[in-house]
Amino acid sequence: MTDQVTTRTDAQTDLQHEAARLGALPAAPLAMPRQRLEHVPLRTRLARLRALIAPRADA
Amino acid sequence: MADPRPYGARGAALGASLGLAAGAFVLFFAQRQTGGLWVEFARSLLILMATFWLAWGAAQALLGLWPGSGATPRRAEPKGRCAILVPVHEEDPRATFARIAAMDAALAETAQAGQFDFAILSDTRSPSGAAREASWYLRLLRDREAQGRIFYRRRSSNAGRKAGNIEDFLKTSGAAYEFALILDADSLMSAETIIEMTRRMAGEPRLGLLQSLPGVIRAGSVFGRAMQFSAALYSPVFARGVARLQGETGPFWGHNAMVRVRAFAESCALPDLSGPPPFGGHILSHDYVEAALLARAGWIVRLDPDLTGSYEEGPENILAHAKRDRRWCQGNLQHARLLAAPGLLQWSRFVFLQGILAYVSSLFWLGFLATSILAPSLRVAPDYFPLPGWSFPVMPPNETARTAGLIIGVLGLLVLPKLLIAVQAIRSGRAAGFGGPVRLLTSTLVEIALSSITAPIFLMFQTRSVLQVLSGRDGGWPAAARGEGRLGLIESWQASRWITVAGLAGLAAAWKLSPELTPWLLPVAGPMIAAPLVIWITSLPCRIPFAVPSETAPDPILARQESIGASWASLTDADPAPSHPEPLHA
Repeated sequence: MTDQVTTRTDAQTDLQHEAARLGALPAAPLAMPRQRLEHVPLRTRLARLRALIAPRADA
Repeated sequence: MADPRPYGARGAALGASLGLAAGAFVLFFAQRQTGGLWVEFARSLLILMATFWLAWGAAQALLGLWPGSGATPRRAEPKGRCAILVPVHEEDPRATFARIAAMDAALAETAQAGQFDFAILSDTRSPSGAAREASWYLRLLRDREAQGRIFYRRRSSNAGRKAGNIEDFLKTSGAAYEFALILDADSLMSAETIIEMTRRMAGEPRLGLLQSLPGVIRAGSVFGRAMQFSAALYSPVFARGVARLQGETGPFWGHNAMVRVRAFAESCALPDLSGPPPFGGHILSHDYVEAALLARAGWIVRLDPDLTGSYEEGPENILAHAKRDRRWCQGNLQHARLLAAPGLLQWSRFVFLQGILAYVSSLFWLGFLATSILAPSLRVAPDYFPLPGWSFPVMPPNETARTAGLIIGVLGLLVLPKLLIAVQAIRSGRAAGFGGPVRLLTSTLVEIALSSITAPIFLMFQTRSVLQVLSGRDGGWPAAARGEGRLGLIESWQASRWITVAGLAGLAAAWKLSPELTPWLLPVAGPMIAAPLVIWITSLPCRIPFAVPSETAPDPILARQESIGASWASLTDADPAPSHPEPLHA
């Protein structure tokens, strides 16, 4: 019984590997820049500004 | 092809809808009863919102009926290749891959055969589902001799769900293609339509997305066939109205649409929204947002309702429909977060608002019914002689007359467009596809009766969905319910007994608080009380002879799919593929 289940699972795995091999997508990468849909909160803007200014202030 | 900047159509539709809504408000508030002013105001406001939504739908139908077909779309021979994308998530691979095989076979017989590849993009998580897919994919490859032309990829993570699935493909392989036709697992399109879409895309370099109008096919139940008839008869007219309203800021319905890969890649990588679901996280109704983002980037998004030969399957029972609607409801309400998104066109914001209203309007109707039941109990005794020295009695406003006026108005806005569409179909000769004028009219009347019975049930399901989303409950990503939709009476009862209880409670409240309204509430409360029966009966095989063009004059692609499906029917899921795949031709 256990052998039968193991054999079936192995066969399924083989089929999936075969499907993945034969069905591999063409390699032709394309960039997809993430879009912005939310306004940046004021707190975040201020934090960014602070981060921008801080090194100069140190200098 | 629609006017690119349809300000006239938009103004007319908005003006008419707002005018009718204001009329309904005045009718109710001007004739308010003495006492309970806030209830009278609230219900007048609710009827204003609900009437606006109904009138807006009617205006779209009337715009669609308006004569004139617009300019002929420009066409050119495409130079690049087109990927036909089939995202799947726990679907029946036998049925889905039979559709792919049919489309591939149809395309193979055209001169453009070499321009198309298929990509099956799996998000299936269950090991058994993945094994079935792999097995049926190998069968598909062998039958179609399609290695290098029909691809199959299963993601290790479902990040971004369907939108993320498409994005993953474009990031991996997008540069190989000029266009991508985005399908659903139940989509089917004729080769002619696919090729025509590539020509229209090539003919208009600013066109970022072209949406076809999918017709519903293969319905078998009472509910399914009524929906199929409704989609075949009314949808082309409503779609023409939508196209005229939206112009170059058109809709994307998520499938049976072609995109320009470069435009889509540049503009449509969706971010997750801040915060947890249902309002934060992954964007559920991604298609509306992608259309808005394409428009924001300056691309044309167009719906061409004349693109027939585009099909999908619909839910076969009310519960399957309600399940799908729950997902759409959450997606549309989530768009409230995007109303003020930076840089969107105003029309795109309005489209988001429309989507929200489509669901929130259920609350308006239910609120209106509740306040109407409540209002009479807050009344003070009428004063028939309010003016000193005036000897004639002043009669209080007649609640029954108002209710009758409302029902006539609602029926007018809901039913009149359908009847006008049926009449136009008869005048234009389109009725032949529906079995001739008599059968068309009979089917229309039966569909109107059926949709009137099911409307209060959908009202309750939609109200529940809206309340669930507003209370923060995430609906998740359930697999689509397809195939035979026959339900048992017990199953129907278990899923809808709360509607029965709500209907009985509403009727009892009306009887107690406003007895004169009780008969007028029956068209709403009756179907609610009988919801389990209605849901069960409408899920049974249909004996009503709804005829539709896809059956009276079937597209050859349907027969091709049936034939492939029949040849695969004898194969078991366990072993559809040869144990040792034969050498495949590239």
